Amino acid sequence: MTVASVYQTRLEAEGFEVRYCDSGEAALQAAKDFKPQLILLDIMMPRLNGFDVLDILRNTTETRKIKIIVMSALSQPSDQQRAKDLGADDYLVKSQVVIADVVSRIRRLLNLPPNPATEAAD
Amino acid sequence: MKHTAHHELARREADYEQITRQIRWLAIVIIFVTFPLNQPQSLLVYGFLVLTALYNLSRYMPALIRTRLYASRVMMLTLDNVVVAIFLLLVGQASTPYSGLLILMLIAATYWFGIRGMLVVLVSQALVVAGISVVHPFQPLVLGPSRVAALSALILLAIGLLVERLTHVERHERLAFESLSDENQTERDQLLALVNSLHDAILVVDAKGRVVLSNAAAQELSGAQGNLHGRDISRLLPVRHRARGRVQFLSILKDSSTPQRRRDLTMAGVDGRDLDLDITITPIKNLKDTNYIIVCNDITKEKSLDQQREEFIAIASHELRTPLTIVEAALSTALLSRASFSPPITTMLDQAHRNTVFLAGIVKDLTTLSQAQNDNIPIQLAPVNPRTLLDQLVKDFTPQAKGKGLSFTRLLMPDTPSVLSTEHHIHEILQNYISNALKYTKEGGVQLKAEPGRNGGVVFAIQDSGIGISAGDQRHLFTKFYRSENYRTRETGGTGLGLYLCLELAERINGRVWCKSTLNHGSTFYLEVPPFSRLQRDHAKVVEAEVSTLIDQL
Repeated sequence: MTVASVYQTRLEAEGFEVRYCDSGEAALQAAKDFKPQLILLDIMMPRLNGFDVLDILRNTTETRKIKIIVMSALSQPSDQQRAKDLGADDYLVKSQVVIADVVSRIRRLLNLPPNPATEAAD
Repeated sequence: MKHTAHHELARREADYEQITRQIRWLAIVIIFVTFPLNQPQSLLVYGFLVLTALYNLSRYMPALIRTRLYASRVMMLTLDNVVVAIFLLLVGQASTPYSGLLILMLIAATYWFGIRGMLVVLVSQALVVAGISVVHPFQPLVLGPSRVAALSALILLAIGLLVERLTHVERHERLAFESLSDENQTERDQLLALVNSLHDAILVVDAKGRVVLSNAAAQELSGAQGNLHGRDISRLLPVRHRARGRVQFLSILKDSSTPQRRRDLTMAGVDGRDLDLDITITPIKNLKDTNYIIVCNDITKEKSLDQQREEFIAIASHELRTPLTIVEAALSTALLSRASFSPPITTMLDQAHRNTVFLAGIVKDLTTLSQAQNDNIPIQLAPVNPRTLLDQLVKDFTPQAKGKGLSFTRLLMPDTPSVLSTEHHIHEILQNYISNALKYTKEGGVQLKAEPGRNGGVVFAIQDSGIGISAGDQRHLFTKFYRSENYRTRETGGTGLGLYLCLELAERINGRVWCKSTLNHGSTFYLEVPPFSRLQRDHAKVVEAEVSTLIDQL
């Protein structure tokens, strides 16, 4: 089991439709094909990293409007600033959040009501 | 030492007083033996002798012996002079053989008050004698030749005895003094032996930075040949600051008006490798100027152990994070469908989930801590506006406070300045304070305050109306893994790292953290941020660190 698969299971249990990509290139492709409402984006990926992906997504007409939450192990303020500057809607530091926080951030960005079951479990 | 000298002085005084008393006794006996009975003033002379004897006896009374003030000595001498004057008046003429008694008095005066005392006595006696030659109520006393011979002999004997006595006391004094300096020497030798046997390098230097005293370890540390005495401390210990480079030791001394400890200095060791030093400097003020005691310790090993420990924490917390995230996420997801489990299973899952969250909290704190302690991560300085910071915190925490039914307010005092510091660290500290405050407050509220600090800095204060902290617990608050007994018995759990983390972060920005609290009457936690947080590392290291951090994370 990987972190990504747990996230997928969880988000599907919350009623979302989820696609998981394991590289920057795959993510860009999926963004075009799948047209998601929101992307949960990691920074440290091989070859094309999260910042690059973010930059491309924001400069492509079809993907410009997709909400993007950057989620990374990098906790330095400079990294957060860089992501914000590139157009990220939110930035989460992995060590500082639990999955329920991620879910509630997603819901907030998509203007969905909070899930009472999630709040209870937190 | 001082005590002994004082003791010596007191003994000398006692010796002197004893001798004066003995002179008086001798004079009384001599007059008593030689004065003829058939004179008109005989009765008066004997009455006078009795009074003098009584006066002399009174000096043996303990209460009087204890008064060894200079004033009381002057009074005694004056009294003695008056006594002699009265006697001469009774005898009727100054040119009697009794005037030999004057010489006795003179010797005593010299002994006690030096040459000045003798002159005073001499002049006053001369005046008395001159007076008597004009006014003398009695006929001049005429003594028979046998009496004159006896008197002369006795007075000579008395003077001889007195001189012998004085020499004896002098010799005694000299011996005492010699033994005293012997004692000093022994004490000094013992101290030197003790200082030499210590592993810490110890140096005593004067205000100009010249070595006055040093021990074997100091010699070893400096690697210098020969006696260190009189040598320049800045040359003996060419210390360097990690970031600022070469530091003149003398300038450190000048900054040490109070004892200070430095752990940030290094110097090249004998074998060429850098030694980390732990240096304590204590100023010793004496009348003329200030000396400094420098205690110096090689903590290279200790420091490298510290580094290893920090590295271990960094790696461990990093490695623990992924599995914990998976476990927490899995449990939390499973609990979404709690209705499909039987109640005991749900309870167990809940417990597992709560403890996983707790564990994740510890790992999170450890990660932040290891980052704070990691000298390789650069400190980034930027203007920090207290208003923006407070507004952000209020926005972040209001939902949580509302959820608990607590008030959450912000107070920005006028003239609170912006500071040049690391917002990230200040934010982290205040966030820790606030979540503690919310955690331990059941009713009332939490207030967030910023006010001007010393020298243009800012003091942040988080005040709550919570359970408070006992005085005993307050002492340990900012120590690692400390949680008061009071808290432990409650369901609200913390990792015990939060406040320690605050302390570490505050140190990184040269700030200060403290707390005021009364049990059951709420607590206030403070953070003082200086106007400028010093940038402590050089840029080469920063770049190197960024690269290695990136490699670590890839």
